[in-house]
Amino acid sequence: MTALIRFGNALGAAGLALVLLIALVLQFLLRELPCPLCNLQRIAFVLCGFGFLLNLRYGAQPAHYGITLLGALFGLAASGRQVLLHIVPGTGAYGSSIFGMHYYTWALLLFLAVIAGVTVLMLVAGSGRFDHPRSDALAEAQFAGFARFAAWFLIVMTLANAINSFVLCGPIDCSGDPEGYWLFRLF
Amino acid sequence: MTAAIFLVAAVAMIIAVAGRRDIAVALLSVSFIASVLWLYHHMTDPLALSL
Repeated sequence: MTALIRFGNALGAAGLALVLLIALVLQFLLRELPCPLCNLQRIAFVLCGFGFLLNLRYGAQPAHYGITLLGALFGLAASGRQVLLHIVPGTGAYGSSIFGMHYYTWALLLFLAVIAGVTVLMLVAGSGRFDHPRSDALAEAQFAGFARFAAWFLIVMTLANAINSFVLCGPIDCSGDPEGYWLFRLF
Repeated sequence: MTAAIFLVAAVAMIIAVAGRRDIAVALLSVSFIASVLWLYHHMTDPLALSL
């Protein structure tokens, strides 16, 4: 894998982890609880990041980019659905707007950006020149520095969202418009 | 449910980093299928759109 492609994948994984971190920070700062569709959009960011993580660990492969694109399409479906729910004037909105757009609108744009980013990375790689390290030891040796940081940053944010989602919704379903944390209501 | 989806995805990532790609992808597939079913479960409200 060329250094540029490796950096692009690391940037993708770290960027998606940063999006998840910002969503969590805003949730607590603004005291706004994520709805089920919001959580599904966060899951989509995780799915997108998984493809980048596989590229960092095993070398860039079309199947890994496919996973990222699948995650982005899933995210477009979830965020697009939420945009459509509120697109008609007078039908309200969910949550605060950040720099003039609501979370789900930002999410929709970010999923489009992920698709654009993967397109660029695949174009840079060129046809038939995807890198397959000859051994797992070589692939693991290349998995260092910023690449390793980005992967673990994404893993930590995914675990943080698992805990957050359990505290908010419990093991089964979340309210469409949650008003409090499920776990705290137990005590 | 979303907590379980996040957890399975996180475990898949850790397994991927540990070098077991096939198991990681299998776990991610489970997570993805559950996510699609969960999205379908929550797409119940009719859209206020008319042509």
